[in-house]
Amino acid sequence: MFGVLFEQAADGQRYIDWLLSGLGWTLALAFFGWWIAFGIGVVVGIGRTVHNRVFSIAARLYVEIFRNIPVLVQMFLWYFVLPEVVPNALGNAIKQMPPPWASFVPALLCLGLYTASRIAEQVRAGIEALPKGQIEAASALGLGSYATYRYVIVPQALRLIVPSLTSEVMGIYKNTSVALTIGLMELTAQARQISEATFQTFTAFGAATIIYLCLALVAYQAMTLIDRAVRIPGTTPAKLTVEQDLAADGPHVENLPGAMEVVK
Amino acid sequence: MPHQTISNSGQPAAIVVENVVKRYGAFAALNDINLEVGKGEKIVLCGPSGSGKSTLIRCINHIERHDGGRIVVDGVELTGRIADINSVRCEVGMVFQSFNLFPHLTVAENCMLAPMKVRGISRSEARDRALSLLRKVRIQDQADKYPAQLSGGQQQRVAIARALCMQPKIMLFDEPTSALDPEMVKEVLETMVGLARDGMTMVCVTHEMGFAREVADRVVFMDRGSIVEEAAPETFFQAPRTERARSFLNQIIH
Ligand SMILES: Nc1ncnc2c1ncn2[C@@H]1O[C@H](COP(=O)(O)OP(=O)(O)OP(=O)(O)O)[C@@H](O)[C@H]1O
Ligand SMILES: [Mg+2]
Repeated sequence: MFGVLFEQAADGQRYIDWLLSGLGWTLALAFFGWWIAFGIGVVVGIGRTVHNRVFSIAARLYVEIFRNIPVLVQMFLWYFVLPEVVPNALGNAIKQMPPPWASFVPALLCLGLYTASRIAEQVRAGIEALPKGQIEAASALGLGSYATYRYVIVPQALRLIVPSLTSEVMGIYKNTSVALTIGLMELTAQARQISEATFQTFTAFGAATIIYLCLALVAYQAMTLIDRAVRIPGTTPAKLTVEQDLAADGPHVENLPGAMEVVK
Repeated sequence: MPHQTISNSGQPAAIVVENVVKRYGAFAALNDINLEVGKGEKIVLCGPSGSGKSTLIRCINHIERHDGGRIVVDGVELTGRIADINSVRCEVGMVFQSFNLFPHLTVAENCMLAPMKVRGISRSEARDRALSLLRKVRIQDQADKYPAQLSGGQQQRVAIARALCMQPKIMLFDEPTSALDPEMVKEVLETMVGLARDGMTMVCVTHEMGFAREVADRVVFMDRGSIVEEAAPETFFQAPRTERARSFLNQIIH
């Protein structure tokens, strides 16, 4: 039944090449988006816990804004609205980016910054879950707040939240499909294109579904390995359970109504 | 601030606590505390639960901020706005009831972190220092293990070595043996006795009377946020002056 994927399309490529190119954009978006999200998420998450008012309020604002606007709306804001509200020269430069980049860059910013707000909350929860004695011991040794965060708090908090970061990894790669709404030809968009060109809807989306499932498995396995690699010797393993991922999946699904409709 | 307070003996005091008050809301955890600890002196602080012992030594280390009175540690005023609290904390080591080792670092790394990041010494020098102090607490063969792989008594000795790596002038202990199984209490107390013999200034919250008898210059008894009685260990244990101290001693002996 997947035979049709190996037939030639109108542009001379095979349909499977369309899928693979879509997969490439999906992976690129998820991968680079993840590092943006992780970097900003850690900084903002720390910001949520510091005593400095300015930092903690700024971090709080960031989280509330980016976490509470639906991903699809954020996608549109970056793609349609941003070029209009920045100075003209910059706006024109954005609009004149060559095709894949004009969609890819806003999608990258959107997913990176949105996922960052979710990671920030995980980081904050991880920091707050540490025993108070850790910070007291660090202060008693004369470590300043930078060194305390850098060498005592953050390394422990990140280890603690590896399981919940797993569901954020899953989340960002699934949310990449929202990028089709601003014209990025990622995996779901390519599947739709194939289905329109061949009328083999089941085959096209079946193939995409299998690829998404494989990616999920790979991500899950990778995170399990990471969890094992950073585990502190002598401590009991933190449970990396499927239920946790499912529970954490709720909000992602809700954030995708628009994309779901397009796919249907 | 080269402000120095001269104690009665004419020696500059290591710790001066004057009329210190600490409140949690309306509740006074410390109520007009006065205490002076000379250089090299060993104080054992005891008293019933909730009497403010931990609060007092946490104020001395400025983990808690006192609300009234003044505290001077190693000649540095810890009252009001403090220019550099961390430079004072470098001179004061603290050992907690719950060890508070950093679980993600090995024993040696636990001991090396502050000397490298605060004192700025090199990694190899920090490791040499860590190993020599770990040898002193007789645990050098565990240097590359992680805290969770050690027994409670071993962890507490690592915590002592970690504090000593900063080469502090004063050591504060908050019930260092209370969380330990009985058979491990001895090894930690022996380490503390060794430290006392080396002339360290020590303030120990502990109910180990044997330890108090052996090393304390003075026993300070607290109750309900106040210092009720201060005496040499023999006097305190044989003939406590106050009723409260008597009933406390009865309870811990029974
Ligand atoms: N962060 C806090 N907030 C409110 N009250 C506190 C706080 N810390 C301590 N207290 C109160 O201050 C009093 C003194 O506490 P502290 O811990 O100094 O007692 P302690 O003498 O060390 O007792 P223990 O032997 O149980 O350790 C207690 O009544 C306690 O409830
Ligand atoms: Mg206490």
